[in-house]
Amino acid sequence: MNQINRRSLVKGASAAAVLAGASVALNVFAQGRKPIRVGMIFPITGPLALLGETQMAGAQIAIDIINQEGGVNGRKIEVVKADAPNSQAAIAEANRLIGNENVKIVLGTYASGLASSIVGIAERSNVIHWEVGGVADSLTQRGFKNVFRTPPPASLQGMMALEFINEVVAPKSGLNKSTLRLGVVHEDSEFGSTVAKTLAERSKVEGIKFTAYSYAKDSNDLTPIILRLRQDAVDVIVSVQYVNDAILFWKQAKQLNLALKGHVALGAGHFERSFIDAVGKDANGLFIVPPPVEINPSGLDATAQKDLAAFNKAFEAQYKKSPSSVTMLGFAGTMILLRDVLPKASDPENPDAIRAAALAVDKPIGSTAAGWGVKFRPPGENGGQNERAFWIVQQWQGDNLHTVYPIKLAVRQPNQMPLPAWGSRS
Amino acid sequence: MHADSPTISTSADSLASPSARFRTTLQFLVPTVLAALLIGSTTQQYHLDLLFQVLLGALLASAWNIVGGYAGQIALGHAGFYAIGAYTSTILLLRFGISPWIGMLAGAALAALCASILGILTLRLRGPFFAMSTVAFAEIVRLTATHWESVTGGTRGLWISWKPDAWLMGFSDRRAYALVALGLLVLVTAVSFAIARSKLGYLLRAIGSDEDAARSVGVRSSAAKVLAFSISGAFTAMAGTLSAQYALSIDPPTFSSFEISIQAALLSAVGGMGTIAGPIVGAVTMVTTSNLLRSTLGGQFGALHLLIYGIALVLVMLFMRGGIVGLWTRVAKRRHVLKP
Amino acid sequence: MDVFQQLFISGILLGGVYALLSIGLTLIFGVIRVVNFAHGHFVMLGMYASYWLWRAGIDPYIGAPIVFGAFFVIGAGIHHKMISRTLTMPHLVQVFVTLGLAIALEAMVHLAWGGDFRFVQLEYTSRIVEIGQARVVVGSLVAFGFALLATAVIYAFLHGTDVGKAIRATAQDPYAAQAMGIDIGRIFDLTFGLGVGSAALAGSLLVPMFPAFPSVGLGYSLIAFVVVVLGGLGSVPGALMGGLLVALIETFTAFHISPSFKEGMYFLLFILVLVLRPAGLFGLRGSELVGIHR
Repeated sequence: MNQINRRSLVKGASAAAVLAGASVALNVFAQGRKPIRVGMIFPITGPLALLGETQMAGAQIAIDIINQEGGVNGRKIEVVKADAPNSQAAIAEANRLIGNENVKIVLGTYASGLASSIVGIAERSNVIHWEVGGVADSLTQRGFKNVFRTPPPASLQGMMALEFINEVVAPKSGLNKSTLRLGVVHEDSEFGSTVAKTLAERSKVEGIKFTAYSYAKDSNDLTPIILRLRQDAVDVIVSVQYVNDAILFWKQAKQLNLALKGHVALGAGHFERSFIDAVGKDANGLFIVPPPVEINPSGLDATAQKDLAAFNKAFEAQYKKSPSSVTMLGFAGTMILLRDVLPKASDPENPDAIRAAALAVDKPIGSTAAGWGVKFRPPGENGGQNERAFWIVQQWQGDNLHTVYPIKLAVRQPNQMPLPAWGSRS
Repeated sequence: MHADSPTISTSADSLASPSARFRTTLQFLVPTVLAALLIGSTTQQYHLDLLFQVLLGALLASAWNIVGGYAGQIALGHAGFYAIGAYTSTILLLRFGISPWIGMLAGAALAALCASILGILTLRLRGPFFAMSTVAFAEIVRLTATHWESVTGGTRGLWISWKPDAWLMGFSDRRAYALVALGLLVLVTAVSFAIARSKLGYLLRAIGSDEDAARSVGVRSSAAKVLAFSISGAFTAMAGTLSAQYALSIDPPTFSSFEISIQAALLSAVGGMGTIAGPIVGAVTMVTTSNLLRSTLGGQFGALHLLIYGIALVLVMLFMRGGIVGLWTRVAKRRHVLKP
Repeated sequence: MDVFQQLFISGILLGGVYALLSIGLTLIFGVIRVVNFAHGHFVMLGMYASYWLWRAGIDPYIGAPIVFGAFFVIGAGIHHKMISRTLTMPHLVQVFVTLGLAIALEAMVHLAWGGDFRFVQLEYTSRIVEIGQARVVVGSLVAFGFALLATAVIYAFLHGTDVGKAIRATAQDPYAAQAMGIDIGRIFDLTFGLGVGSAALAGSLLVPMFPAFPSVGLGYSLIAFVVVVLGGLGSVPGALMGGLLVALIETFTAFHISPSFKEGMYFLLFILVLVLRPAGLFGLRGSELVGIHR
């Protein structure tokens, strides 16, 4: 070959190489730009809608924040929404998300009952079920390897309540384990019954006198329960109630002048403003055991602090009020998926890769906006449960909720123990 | 009461001729084969789920039809039998490892027993009084399931761990569940057909038309009613078992809700009570509509499908008592008459 | 002892409301011989109506007559347009039509106003009054008083006015009544309106104490059925006695056995009465045998 030909050959070859390389890069680039589709299933209509919607809002804020930062490894998150007002709808919608929409992650569901109906579907179809709100222990006890749960389980909530009562409420009210009479007042749903059972077992172990008082959902009269509480001279109650019975119970307790030394509420009914709007100043003094919200930021690391601030700002801008713990669950759980799991997965749309990445996460307490750490239990006993999630204790003080326990995350001291008489609480 | 006769010939000797028998067999075989093909060709999980719900609805409605359509007894408590079926097979499976196929039969037997007892207790009650007692029955079943925690798991309910094992009624291919539903549907339809053409069916229709007149000519209405009720309850329980195996978890609110009782009656009424095809037609139209509504409108209009159910029920009852099948028959007859 | 007093007084007061709840149902049955499966849903609508009036600034007790009047008209209209057609049709049709109406009403309310509970907060009704050793909420005393008053008024109406007598005549024998020149179509419309109106009125009295939500209707229907079956279909005094009895049984069962069991109690009672004495305490013997055929 003569000189000119070789040069043109080289030029041609290098041009080809550049073009090939460019097209490969472009392909990878295009692939890389393709959004990651995540299915979101919450009760947006129906009896659970009030709280289902607010939790979904929290999840959406997390997604918006991540997308603003450029997405996960450059790929934006695209949400496919589904409404599940009840179990039957949840099943149909889960099938639609997995079968029609082809998502590989189903995020949801706020309610353990809904989650319970669809975890089997995810498992059978090899799709990841990312639970951010349903806390019933049973969800991680069915031996499924595709189920991950970011918040703490319900059993720990009861334990936290008991711990708080033993450490703080009882001593301040002049009681100890042998003199304390403890009662649990609950709606006979799965959550309520599970809490009652856990508390019954623990009370027996610790030697505390304990009775459970249950009633049917949608009862329109709780005075029989209140009369029995009075007759049994119960000192402190733990309650598991939804909004309506929470309000009804407290109003009727006032009517019958039930004198309690303390009330620790585990049900979402006492977590919302609708409770204090309905019962007024008498809500003050009550303790609640919510998932973390309004915690002292000094207990968090830098990224977590930033996320917390961004979350509060976004929620308040859109909804004109501060976020509740239910919303925080949606935010925190989704953030863990988007910050700590998906970026580390070799392929964020391959369930096996996602699972491996999730099981590999190991972050200490204080590293998420909720104050939790992240470490999912391996398949086996309670597989998929985030071991480093916990509950906190708040108290209604001055018509607002403030975190009072654990001490490191507290913003105020607990007060009003024993509980003052009706009409004199603040 | 039933001006509409079933869509199949009821004259007692018409089945004797081989051509009539062939025609009837074809009437059964063709839709069954078509349905099986439909199931076989459906691959999308979402569509399969819908198909299953439709078949289950048809099964429920057809079972109800035996006592509600033919005998004209307003039973509004079939959720009780459904729950009995679901709980019996599940408890037998979880506690004793008994196959759900056998459990299904056990559930059906228990439901039939309860139906007989309830039927005997409420023999003299007519119309709305009978309806009210069936509602009370379903509520008692629900309350039992909710409070007998040691056996039924209380409000938590029970769940079944899934293994792909046909003997345990667990299938990896969802199409199998739909085929089982189809099989049960064919069975209950065949039984309905047999009843309709038999002396029992004749007695039931007489009772349904005017029980007092029937009794005055010596019809043993009690025995007939109780028998129909038991058969109806038994098949409803079988539907409950299948549903439990499909969902893999059962609990009182889902499996003994009033909505199930209403659905059983409503699907049959809208499609055409007292006919073979009616319950099936009713299920296909109503279940598909409500599912479609939910996935397209979902968000704001969760209660819309209930509104449609209610309005459909009122309109059908007022203007189209034979249901969709009745309307079809009337139109067909008219066209037949007009033909030269 | 004070527990017994508390339970007894609460039971009686609740019983008054249950009675008012059920009078409409028993009237409609006694005269028109139709069992209205949507009865509780009209109570629910009455609750919502009072709630919205309260939001507009009208006290529920002052608004109660308005609610009664409005639903009287609505009820009469529903009978005229819908129910009257079904009177010559089999039971099944009547049951399904009223059932369909109930389902549709509940769905409409859910679509319009969502599933959340609506509480009417009245300062003076939450005040507590002591009767002996029992503490009662003013609201329940008012409801009880109103209920007794309404029962008395209805009874007086049925026995003292010409229209009332016409209604009773129609109940006894519609053909004879018609032969005497009574327009029974109009009587039926009126009675249905009266029944629906009193159901809505009961709702107005309940809403200062209990929340309104779409699915509350079914529960009230069931209570009304138990009361009416116990007291005897068609009997106004029966509804009163039945209401008191059911409420007392409910209150004592809830305390002494378990609150969850109180529903079970209804149903057991229900089936027992239906099986042993279907005519109820004061009812027309044999009505359940005759059914509702004309």
